Amino acid sequence: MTRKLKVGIEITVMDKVGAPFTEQLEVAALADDIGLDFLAVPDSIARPFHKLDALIQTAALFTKTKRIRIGTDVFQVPLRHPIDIARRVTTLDTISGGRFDFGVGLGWFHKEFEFLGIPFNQRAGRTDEAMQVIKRLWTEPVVSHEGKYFKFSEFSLEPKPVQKPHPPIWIGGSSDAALRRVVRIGNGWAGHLETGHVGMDHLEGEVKTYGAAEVIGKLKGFAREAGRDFSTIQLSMMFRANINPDAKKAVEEASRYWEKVGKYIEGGRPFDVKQQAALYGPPERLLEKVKEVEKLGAERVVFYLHAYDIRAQVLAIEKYILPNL
Amino acid sequence: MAEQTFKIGFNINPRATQGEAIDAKLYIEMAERADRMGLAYLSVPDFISRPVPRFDALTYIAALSVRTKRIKIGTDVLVTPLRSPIELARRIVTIDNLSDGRFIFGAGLGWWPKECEDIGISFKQRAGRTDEILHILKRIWTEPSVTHQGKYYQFRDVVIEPKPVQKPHPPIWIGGSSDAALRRAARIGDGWQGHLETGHVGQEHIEGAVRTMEPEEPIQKLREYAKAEGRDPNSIGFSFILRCNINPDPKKAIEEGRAFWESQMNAIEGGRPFEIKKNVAVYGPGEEVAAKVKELLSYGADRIVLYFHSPDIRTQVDRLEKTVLPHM
Repeated sequence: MTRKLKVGIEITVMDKVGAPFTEQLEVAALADDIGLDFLAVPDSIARPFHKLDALIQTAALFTKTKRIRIGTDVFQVPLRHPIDIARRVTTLDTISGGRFDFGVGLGWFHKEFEFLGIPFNQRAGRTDEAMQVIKRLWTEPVVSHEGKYFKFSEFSLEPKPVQKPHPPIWIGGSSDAALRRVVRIGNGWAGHLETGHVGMDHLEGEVKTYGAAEVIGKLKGFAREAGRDFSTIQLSMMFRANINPDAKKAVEEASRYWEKVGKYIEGGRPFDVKQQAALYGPPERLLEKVKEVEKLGAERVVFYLHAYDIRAQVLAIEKYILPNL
Repeated sequence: MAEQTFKIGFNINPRATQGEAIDAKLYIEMAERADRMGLAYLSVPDFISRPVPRFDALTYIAALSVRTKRIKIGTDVLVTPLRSPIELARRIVTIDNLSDGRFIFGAGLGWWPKECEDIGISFKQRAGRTDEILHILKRIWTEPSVTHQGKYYQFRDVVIEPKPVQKPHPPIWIGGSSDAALRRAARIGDGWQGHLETGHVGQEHIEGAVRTMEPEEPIQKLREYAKAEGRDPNSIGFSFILRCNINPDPKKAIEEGRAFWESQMNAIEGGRPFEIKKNVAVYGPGEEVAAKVKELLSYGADRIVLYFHSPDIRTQVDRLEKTVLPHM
């Protein structure tokens, strides 16, 4: 295969009660077979839709695939204890023989924080402290830590991750704070082209969409300010998509998916904002966007399929996208 | 595939030498073999922060569930008070769906004070938290929307979907051998995941005298406590852990058992001394292990769970298949 750009899909929830796993496991095996490079699994603890636990699901997907990498998109670090996270991720990394990508985020759904008794305004501080702890647990034989949120002494996490020094850390989000965090602690940026949250029960920042050049330019600027070599930051770009030669059908399926499930996962932005940044319809425009971000330095694209029939979407990627990259 | 199901399981605790990676493939292979040979159960112990190389129990169980078809898999036991009940509910539901209803939730309090400290949970609160968490789990698994105002946890209108495959929820088996554990099993358990040693030593605390019991003692208590709770004693299952090393040469079995135990730095199984283990464990030929399993089953146990005191699980599973099962 000469294709340089890595291609992944989001394995999201399927709004079907019954045997959701069977379908997801089949889609994962299909993606592995046709040569996709990455599966992304979103994380939610207590949002009001049919959802599986992200890391349990990831463990299951690993045992049904052979080579594809699988990662979180993104795991809400401040809702968990860093020791617990470190061990769960190490377990996944070992089970998969080093195929895990650790996508990290803060979370945005207020209620989830309330449910777990974690103050929403501590989420950035907790994430930064937890990530520092986790990296140390993965790489140092014995760790003592006394921070603002976590405190423990002489703890030794074994086994260490298979990937050295640790599974790659991909920071999600596209706010300035998220981009600065990428520069500070990330191996990569799991980017997308929207920012600001609305709906559900809070509003934070203006909801808008970006051009890829604009946001990657910003990331470069932050790297320069912080003295980090931009070439050491891996770039992955996500596109919301529904691939269908019939544009009307694509939009229809995407909007149905959005109202039922998508908005709870991706930040509650209204569907018309989605439509600006998403690519619903025939594959040509999607391909154009993909090539644009590849030129800007992206090494991976991830298709977040706003669809119920994920299998059909994967087959469309195989047919229309992969041969043209 | 074997038609028969033996009322035997084993503890599939992934191990490695300090500083080395765990051979995940080996353990998955052992799980597949257990499934094929018709064993009833695989148990996975839980460690968040103990100084032995271990996997996260539920993540590991997820992998084992997908690679097996009919064997039941459970925690033995999950250190319940260290978890957030909402996330725990979601994680267990996921496993129950993934395994098509083969998960048994073995719940315990934990006994290692440092583990509680590391996570920032008071060791003294572990019983209270466990009771409250189990109460919450049952509600989340069975009610469409849950509001809870408890001592340790408060939340409103939590909805967790999907619900478990097993109805009303995955069976909750309470671990531990103290009176408090037996009372908890009688009060809220679907079963008691028992063993015949009691009391803890080492690791900065002592709780109760360290001793071994005859099977009648906890069974009798469990029945009595169940009656006091107004429950039918027969509606509560029980199982026993049996520590063993299967080896045709009894001397070698004991040697290996002892060396294994010492290598674990007492970080497992309550940290009780090897001399206590020896009283209730079986270190010897398959026939002897089979006889002990049959004896324990004769009390009405649902299953016997073997804990191999050996660094070599492959050999133990081989000997289980070839030298124990034929006597069952």
